[in-house]
Amino acid sequence: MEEPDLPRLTDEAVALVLHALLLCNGVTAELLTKLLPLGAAAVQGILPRPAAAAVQTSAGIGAGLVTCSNGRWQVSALGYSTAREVLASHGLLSDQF
Amino acid sequence: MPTPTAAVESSQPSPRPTPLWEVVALADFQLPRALDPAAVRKRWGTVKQVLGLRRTEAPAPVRLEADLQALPPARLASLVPPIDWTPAARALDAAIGDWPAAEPPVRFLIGPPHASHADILRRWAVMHGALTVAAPAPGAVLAGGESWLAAWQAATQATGVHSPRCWVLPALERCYLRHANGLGLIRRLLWLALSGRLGPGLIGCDSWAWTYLQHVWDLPQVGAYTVQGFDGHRLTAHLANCADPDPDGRLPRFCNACSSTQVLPDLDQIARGDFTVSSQPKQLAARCRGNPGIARLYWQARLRVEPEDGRAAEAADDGAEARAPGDQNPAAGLAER
Repeated sequence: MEEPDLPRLTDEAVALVLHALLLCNGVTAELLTKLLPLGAAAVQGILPRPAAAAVQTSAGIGAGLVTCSNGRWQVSALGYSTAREVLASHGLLSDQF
Repeated sequence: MPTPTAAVESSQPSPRPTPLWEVVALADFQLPRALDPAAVRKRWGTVKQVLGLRRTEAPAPVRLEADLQALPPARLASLVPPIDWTPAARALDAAIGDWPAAEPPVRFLIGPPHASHADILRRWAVMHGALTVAAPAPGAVLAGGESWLAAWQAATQATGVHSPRCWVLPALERCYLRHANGLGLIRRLLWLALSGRLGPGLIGCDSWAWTYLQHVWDLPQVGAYTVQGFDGHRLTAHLANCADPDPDGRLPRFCNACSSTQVLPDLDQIARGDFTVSSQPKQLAARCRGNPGIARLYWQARLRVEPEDGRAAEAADDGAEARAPGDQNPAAGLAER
């Protein structure tokens, strides 16, 4: 089994989305646009398309790293370790667990 | 898949009376120690030199992962069922002792993602007949949550100030959304709760939200608890205990997919607490940072079964057998025969 890959472009926007998902333990894409300085198009470009679960968007988060249930996006259990590494590489606040 | 190093399988037996589920003060949480494969190989090499043993090449894998098959969903569900959080709720009871008689009036249960702190508190609420308070809807949080908080206060007052009913707020992380109005709501909520105006209560909070809120304010450390991390010992016992035994009461054999060495001990060894912890659960525990919820999903994703290729007689003799992850990679493959 392969763990989810690191996002191809681990830019600040991707890290901010992952951070917001972890800090709130999952939110909808619509809420992300209200909580982050990112427009709807940018958020949609970063989140994978639920219908194309195996496809990683060119600029965003690989499917498997996050999951979507009833419209609520969350860092997946198997992607958690990778997401943590992404956030640590950006020097973002992390938990102590 | 990395080549197995069977020698590092035999670590010291570790009889330990510590309970599987333990709720501890937040400051006492311990991450499982990661094994350093290079250090383990070096130590083993030194031992072999001292004993005069010849260095040998690593054995070839018994089975390639590609040769193994996925388990049928029903069999997988019986080997790795959902975690029952009731023992964790009982462990919380033990940790909080004589609360709510003792101060402070509010206690916190902090947990990392996928470790189900909210489920533990919901289970605790059912066990004790406590009022479970659902988090406000996101729109209400962004609006400041006044009506939500007012409704809660009204419900608390209705229960009577002389015998207030315990309440549980399972998911504080859903009450702020890292928004100015949400933070204002949390500030008012915590002031009310910590001053005792809401009566005795338990608050669950995700570890990331807790760290963020701690960064914003000085949250109380007294009265904050968490489930102790699952190290290799705890994880071994947990994985063995939760798997459905065979009709004859025996645990299916879980073996390393590469080396065929047994990964989980027998149930009677587990019951005695006297068993050797193999390297795979240790590595899995370290990889998952002691999080049993995540470890369970890794374990489930790695289980494989031997194909039916004429081993029926052997299977009948041995019962079911499953294979464990490789030494270097805690998520390398399991098989059941």
